[in-house]
Amino acid sequence: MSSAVVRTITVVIPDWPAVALQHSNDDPLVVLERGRVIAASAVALQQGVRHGDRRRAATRSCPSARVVSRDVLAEVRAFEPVIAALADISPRLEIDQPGIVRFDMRGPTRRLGGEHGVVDAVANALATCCSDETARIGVADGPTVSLLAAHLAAQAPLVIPVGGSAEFLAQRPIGDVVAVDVLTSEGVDLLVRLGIATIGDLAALDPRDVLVRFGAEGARAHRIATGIDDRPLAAIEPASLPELERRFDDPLTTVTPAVFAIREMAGELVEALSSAGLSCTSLVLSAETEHSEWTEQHWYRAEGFNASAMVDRARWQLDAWAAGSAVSAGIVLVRLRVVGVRPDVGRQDGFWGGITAADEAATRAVARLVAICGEEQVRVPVASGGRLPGERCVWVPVTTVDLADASRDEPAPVWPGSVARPAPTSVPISPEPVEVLAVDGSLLSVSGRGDLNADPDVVVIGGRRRRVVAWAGPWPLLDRWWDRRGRRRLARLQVVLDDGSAHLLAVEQRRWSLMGTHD
Amino acid sequence: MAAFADIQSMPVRPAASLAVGERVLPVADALTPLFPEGGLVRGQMVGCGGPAARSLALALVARSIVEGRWLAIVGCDDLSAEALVESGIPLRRVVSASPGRSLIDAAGAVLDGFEVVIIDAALIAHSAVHRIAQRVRSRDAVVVLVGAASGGVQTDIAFTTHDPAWEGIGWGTGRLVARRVRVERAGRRTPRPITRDLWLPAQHSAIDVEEVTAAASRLRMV
Repeated sequence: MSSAVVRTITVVIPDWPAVALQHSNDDPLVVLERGRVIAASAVALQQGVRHGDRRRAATRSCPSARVVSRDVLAEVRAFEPVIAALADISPRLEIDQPGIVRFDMRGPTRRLGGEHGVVDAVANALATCCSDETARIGVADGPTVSLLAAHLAAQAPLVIPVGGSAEFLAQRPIGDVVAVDVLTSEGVDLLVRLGIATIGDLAALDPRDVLVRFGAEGARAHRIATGIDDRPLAAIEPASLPELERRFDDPLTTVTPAVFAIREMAGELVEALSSAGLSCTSLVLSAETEHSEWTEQHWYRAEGFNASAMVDRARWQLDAWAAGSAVSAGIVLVRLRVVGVRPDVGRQDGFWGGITAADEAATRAVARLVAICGEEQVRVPVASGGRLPGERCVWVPVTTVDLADASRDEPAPVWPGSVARPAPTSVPISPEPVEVLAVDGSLLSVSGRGDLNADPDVVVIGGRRRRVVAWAGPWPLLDRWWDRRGRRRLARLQVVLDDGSAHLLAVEQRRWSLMGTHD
Repeated sequence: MAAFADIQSMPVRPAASLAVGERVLPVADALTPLFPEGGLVRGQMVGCGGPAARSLALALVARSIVEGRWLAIVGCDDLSAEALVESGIPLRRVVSASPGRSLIDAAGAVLDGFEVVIIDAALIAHSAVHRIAQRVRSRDAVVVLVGAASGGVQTDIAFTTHDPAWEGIGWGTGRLVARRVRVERAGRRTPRPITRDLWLPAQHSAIDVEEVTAAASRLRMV
């Protein structure tokens, strides 16, 4: 089996989402996704911004920070020069995501006089297109280990000798397998609790036990731990894998219909593969214009592409391409080529056995909706946890979930300390300030012991004064008391007003706001 | 006589009964008296107005979604996902979109793929109503328009909620438990208004709609 292990070089540009967007090297840029820092520029990191921080924590560490939300399109676009520079060394680049690219070293090694020649060539190529301190280079047997090596590399490239993977990995903490997307963090937590602290500990286990306990993912992690990292790189064995292309008689002048066509092709591909028990992990997406301008890109996704993930990649690629200057005519051809597959480890189907026509129609419509409204504007509800309205279930962008995943269904049980059902039907997106007044017209307040200083008489919402006809509370809440930054102390009050409307109000630091309305 | 023989020899079409089954999406039992048709008819627009408009809209569609249809919510950005859960709507078949300026395009996409759609009535300009109504008819979807129907949006069926009365909450005591509300049905397809008193939400029920009965109306504060 180890004969299938391919000597691989991986280039990682850490914090690419920030690097791609920063104006200059001393731009204190912080990139957020879903409220958390996912990347920051070097300056911001030096000032103490950490990955996973919330916006407030990040701006506290780095007050001059420029906080922006993630822009995948810009990342893809900014990554194109890097790809172009590396394409001179190897034409078979595999792109994990913008910021991570790898290729099979065997060919270039022969051509460029050994591995050092390749590493030097890569470093030189990178120096021409990005500032030289940022990129990290890792070389090892197999794509996953080389990715880990690249993550760990300092300024100098980290080269793991041939056959040295197991030794290199043995002392690494088990958490590293999350960094390279082999196991989920839940899986790793479980391993740690079982006393398996390093990758070497994992390698020492009986592979059969690992398979039984952790399934296919665990088995793969175990193989990698023992140095057998044999996932084929993209574009190694393209024979016999499916490929679809579509030609347009009328050249398409916008990207959306092309993406729409790819949506259909992606559905066909995924169906063809899944009927053969496979799922696509590597994909080559190409498009051509009437003037023979051409784009081709490799995409890789460890957990396999479903149709909507393929469509996402298509949109990133085509949008970036069409926005560049290289396109002077309409699109006449799109092609999807599957270049890497793995056994489909299966997914739990819905209770009634699989995907209905309604599911498929809705999934298709969602892809179109995303194209029309934008990724952030199409959302689905997912279960979360919390005691305030809008916390137990939250809306997240549809592109971040798997629509066919039936386990998304049920919300977490109600947390103790929540106000009992019914929940408000409307929850303002941003806190809406209100005034709660006593009979004498003074602003109501809640004492430290959780008592109101007077009965509420009038509530002013959106400038409209309404008399209170019934009220209940206040219910104090000290949320996340263990978390110095995230803790909140507030009191909640239910009111029914003279127009029959009912609201949940909260007071936090002497300011009243509307938490929800029963309408 | 020959003509009569012809008619007799024609194959019997069970279409009437079957078609009703397909044309009509079921609603919660408590709501069926409001529907002489037996439920939501595909291709129709239904308006919900008044102080309990959102709760009513969710109650109307819940049964359809439970049965495996998908729900699209357009423009109701502040709708609480938890309220969906309490209405008994499975979250995994719900998608919400904020179309911004491209309402017509988004509505088109939504109506192609979703059988049940809730749209915030405030979004729909006069000029757009006609086009959306046409789409609804041709796609066989059910559209529920929520909120201020004062824009003059002419729907096939118009529900209005009146006189909400909350139970369980007093002056500094109890909490919100249940709401009694009068629901009136009017609109193009309703020659005479129909009125029902409902619990929306009710004290315990998952579907949150319950007829007001003598026993229930004696519900006291808790």
